[in-house]
Amino acid sequence: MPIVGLISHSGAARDVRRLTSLARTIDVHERANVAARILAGLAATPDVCVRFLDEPTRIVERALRMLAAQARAGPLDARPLGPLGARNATDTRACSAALALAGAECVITHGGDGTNRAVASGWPDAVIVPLPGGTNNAFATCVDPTAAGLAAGLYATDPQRFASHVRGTTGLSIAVDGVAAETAIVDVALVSDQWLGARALWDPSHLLEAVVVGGDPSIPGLAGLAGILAPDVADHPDAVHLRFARQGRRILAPLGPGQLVPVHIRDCRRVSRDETIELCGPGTLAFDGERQVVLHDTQPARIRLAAGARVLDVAGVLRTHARHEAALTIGSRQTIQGGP
Amino acid sequence: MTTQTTDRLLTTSKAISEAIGQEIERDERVFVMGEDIGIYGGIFGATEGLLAKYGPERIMDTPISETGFIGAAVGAAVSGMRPIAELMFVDFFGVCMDQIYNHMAKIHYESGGNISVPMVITSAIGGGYGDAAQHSQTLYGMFAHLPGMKIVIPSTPYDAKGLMIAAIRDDNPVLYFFHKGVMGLGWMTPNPRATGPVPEAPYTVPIGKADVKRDGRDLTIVTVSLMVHRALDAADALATEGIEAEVVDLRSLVPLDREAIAESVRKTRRLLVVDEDYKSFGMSGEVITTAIEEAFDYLDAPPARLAFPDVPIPYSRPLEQFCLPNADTIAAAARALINA
Amino acid sequence: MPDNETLREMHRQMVRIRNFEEALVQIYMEGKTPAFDIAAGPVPGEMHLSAGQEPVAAGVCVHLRPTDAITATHRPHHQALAHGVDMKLMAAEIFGKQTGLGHGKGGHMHLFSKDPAFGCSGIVAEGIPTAVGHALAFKKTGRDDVAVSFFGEGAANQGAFHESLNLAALWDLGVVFVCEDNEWAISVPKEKATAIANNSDRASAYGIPGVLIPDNDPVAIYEAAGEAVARARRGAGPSLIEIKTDRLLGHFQGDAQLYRTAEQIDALTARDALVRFEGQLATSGLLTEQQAADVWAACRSEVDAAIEFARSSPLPAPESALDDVFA
Repeated sequence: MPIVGLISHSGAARDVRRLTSLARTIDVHERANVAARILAGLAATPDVCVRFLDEPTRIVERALRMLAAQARAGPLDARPLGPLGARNATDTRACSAALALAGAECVITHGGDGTNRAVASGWPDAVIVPLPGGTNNAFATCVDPTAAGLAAGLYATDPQRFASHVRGTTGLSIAVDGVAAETAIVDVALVSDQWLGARALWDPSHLLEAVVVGGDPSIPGLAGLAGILAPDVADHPDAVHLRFARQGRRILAPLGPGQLVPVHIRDCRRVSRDETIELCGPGTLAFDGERQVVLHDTQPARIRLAAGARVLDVAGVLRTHARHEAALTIGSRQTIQGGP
Repeated sequence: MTTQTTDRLLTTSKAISEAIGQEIERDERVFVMGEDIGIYGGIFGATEGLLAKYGPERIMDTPISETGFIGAAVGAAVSGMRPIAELMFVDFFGVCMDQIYNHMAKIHYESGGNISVPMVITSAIGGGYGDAAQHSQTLYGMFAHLPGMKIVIPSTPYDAKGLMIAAIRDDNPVLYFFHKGVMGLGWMTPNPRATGPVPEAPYTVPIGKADVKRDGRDLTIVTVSLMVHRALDAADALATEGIEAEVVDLRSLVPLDREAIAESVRKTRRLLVVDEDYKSFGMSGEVITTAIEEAFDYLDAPPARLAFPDVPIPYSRPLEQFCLPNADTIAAAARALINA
Repeated sequence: MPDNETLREMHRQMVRIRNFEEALVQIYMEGKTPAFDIAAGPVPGEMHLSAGQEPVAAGVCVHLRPTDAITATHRPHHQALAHGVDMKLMAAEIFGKQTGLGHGKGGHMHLFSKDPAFGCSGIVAEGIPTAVGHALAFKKTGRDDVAVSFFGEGAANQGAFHESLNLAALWDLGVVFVCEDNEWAISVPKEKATAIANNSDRASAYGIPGVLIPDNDPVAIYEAAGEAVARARRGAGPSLIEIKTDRLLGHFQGDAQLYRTAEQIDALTARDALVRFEGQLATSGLLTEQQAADVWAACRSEVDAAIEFARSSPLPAPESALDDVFA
């Protein structure tokens, strides 16, 4: 009985960056629509069990109703798992951990970088299918939701067959005395001031230092900035360490959606696998664009590269499946002719 | 009788729009909001020609959001503007009455006189042309019952211009009700009394002061709005029988010119109130009670009233005309009063 | 992010408000016992207190000038105080005294001030269109003042809310709509009244930005409100901020709160945002125990003086009831 997790919540893409940048709004209907399209793909897998995050906007329940309204859909074994009425990252993390315990093979997410970090935190070995549903979506991959559901269902049914399509990523492990260890999946930034506040980062003048994995100039945020500064790093499982300054090299960086702002860089250097970087307070650490931990005077945070979350290559899974020309039979549901 | 020393003739609707235009020119704080008051010029012509002259900043078409824009008028007035908000038909008050009677009318009092709300609400009242139960009411009795808002109801072009200018210049909330039948609209039944002399220069008519439209010695007819025209027609007919009726046009209901009522009753000793509003619990009862309180000893006969019966306004012509006072029924009631 | 002086000022406002509301808890019950009689005592009528919701007032109002206009609700004390309405005159009005803001004519739900510009209303959602009107006046007269409309999550289901957001968006007005979601519309929890989980989602129906502050955190509120006010001031139009806040007391004083359990109320008290904020300030070294004690003492004195002023002020002359209908 293949088990697939589904995590989508309305807390993503709802924060103050709606005011400070041109961040889009994804309302609950749009989220439900994406979830329904995911479920349509999952429904093609025989005997699949979907276990989803229970949250107050009832995205997946809405999606199930939308799916049921489609005449051809049959019943789907979909139930919530984990804390009820999930409100925050801690709850997402707990749901992810519950999925691991329940024996889920993979989890589809529709959220931002923060959502994916919470999932990876609760289940470090999780195989994630991350759809972009947040403000900055550096970690997610752009795939059709139904294709994602199809691929996740196939993978969950036979993980061995599709093992080569699981890609490891590099993350950053952060150790702060007295604070539980965290892993960031995109970046860690140190900002001035010592408040979590509205969490998001939007003011470049507060940036002090950052460690960023996987830079890509075509995406917003610090990952985009890293991609501009170290254009060749993308192929290497390394990271870059940036230090910001009042003066220095001036880069126009897409810090947030539609937010092209000048950022002053003091220096930028590659980080190697066995290196530990220390970021010292006073300041606040932000993981994947959200302020999380306040550092007091001289309090250090130690950052190292670490194994990050694992991501499923949807196209790869579907190509492998097609190559073996296995017809999908769904028993009491529909038959899809000629492959996916 | 008010002196009107000019041959310049305008319809009531043109007199109103002229008044608004002159105040817009004189005082930059004045602006108009309402449905179809822009290019259409107001459904009953109250703002005709003003958009072309003064532009959309001063003459603002609104969505169908009475609570929204009348409430906005309240806020704008508190912040120092002098808005005119048109409630297209007085019958529509139901969708926004809270803003009118509970908010606009009470802020000055609740603030102990500290904050004033200098705004005008214009609204079309009255029937007689087959517009049925929800588009033919007068309702001034109901509004007059509630404290905190002045109410003016002109019956002639001269009074219409003067009262509009007075209403705009008044620091209090003023309801300005214009009967559709007195506007002189080309698409309504022609009414010769809807056109009259109107001086070009701005002038005011005092709010709270009635006007004797016709001197008489045999009975007093107190009324307002279109019924002034009907009463004058009845008085012309009665004059051929040797009965001289005095017609008192209240012009304002709040403040009510009780002294004018009493003075006329003391003179003629017989009172007939004509009221197009529903009979019970309204203007006619208030006028009669005023006469009794102020001039009981002078009455030679019990006061009489001719008012719309307490029924929703029927559509079919014979039904509606049965309910409405007209020149003939007014004259008949006057004769009965003389003979009482 | 707020600087240290601002943080201390926000804390002071929250302590002021808390002291004022707690004083009223006692005062309101004077004369009303043993059998609760709403008409009795020095403060008759209804009383709606804002304990727990201080972060909303402190975090938003610290960005405002006296000429920025606020419209508020039947639960107005925290916003009035944070905006700078005179505490003595406010207290006197609540006591129905001649020296009050409205010379006793308005009472606790109808507090009006010209400077700072403040008004409130006992009718749910009534003030939302009014805020649109203030912003309309500011735009027409070239003022860069902003209008802030405070309302509850219950009010967001009233037609006036929807009409107002549409108008503000249509006319591009500088209004900040602040939805204080304390989860309770008297006894009806939000999930039983509102079809969607977050009122901030409603903003996109009107094409304006909507932001959710999921906890009652004064600094998060400060940051979001700062952005919203700045946008409104520079002519970038309206926005909606939804804040999940906590109503520590009943809907009104005397409310037996049978609709929520003791555990639910205890949970609220356990996460009292004022206590949490004080702890954070202490940890950051911005507020020593002595300094905190000094702030509390100063605020208590201010509240005591205001109450004393109210108590010792005369009642209005009965005939004055007939005055001030018209200007």
